Amino acid sequence: MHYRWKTGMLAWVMFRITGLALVGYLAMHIIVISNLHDPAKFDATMGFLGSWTFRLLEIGLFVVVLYHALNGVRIFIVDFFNGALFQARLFWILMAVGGVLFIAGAYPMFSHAMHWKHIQQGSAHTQLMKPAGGACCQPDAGKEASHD
Amino acid sequence: MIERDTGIRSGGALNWFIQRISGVVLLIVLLVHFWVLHFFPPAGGEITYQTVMLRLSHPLWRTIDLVFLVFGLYHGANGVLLVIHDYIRQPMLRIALVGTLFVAALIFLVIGSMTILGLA
Repeated sequence: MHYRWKTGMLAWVMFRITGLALVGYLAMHIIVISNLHDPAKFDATMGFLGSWTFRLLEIGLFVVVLYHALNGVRIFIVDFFNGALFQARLFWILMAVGGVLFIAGAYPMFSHAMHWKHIQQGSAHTQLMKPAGGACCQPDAGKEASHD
Repeated sequence: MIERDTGIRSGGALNWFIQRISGVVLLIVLLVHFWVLHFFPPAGGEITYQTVMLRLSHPLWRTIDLVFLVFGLYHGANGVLLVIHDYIRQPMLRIALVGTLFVAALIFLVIGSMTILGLA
């Protein structure tokens, strides 16, 4: 007996592999971010991870996340909206959507990796970036601590 | 407990359902996360102690990050649980792995929460 490699099988195997990869990444991510208790160590770690090698790996992470998320959407549709009837077609439609989203998302990530300065000022999320009440942290503490 | 962990009597309908709901939550939070931290990060994309603390000083961001942590860990651990149940047939090994998974998830939950809440 052997498995038939149809679309659903391919989707399932890749879903499982990307899922396990993301669990591994989540564990590493939590450990790296826990360096926040030590500003100097955090900035040193972030400086290390800010190299173009890791920025490119970050785009790889984006692909993994994108696949897992889109196939997750497919599973949701299959389970709740009778998607089993058109799951194979749905898979390829979502992969096409993924291709578009990849180009849209990878471009800013790639330009960060290459240190192209195109970051805009005053975008929507900067509202949220403002501290809620007064100073949150010493403005110069991080600056002094970085890159030493 | 042992029956449930070995998966012998586990129907898993609730886990199945929560896995889908947590997936949808993660999809939404991940979109915010990627948008702000990877696509259009402030200060030229440099993630420093200062920029992170500035962001985390807003209670809404702490909440978003906590939701992300809890749902991400639940979703991930539940996924690994599924993989263990699929491939590990030996009951004792299965109990050991599920136990390790549970403890690991708990440790990461504590580390992550302390980081986000600034308790460490």
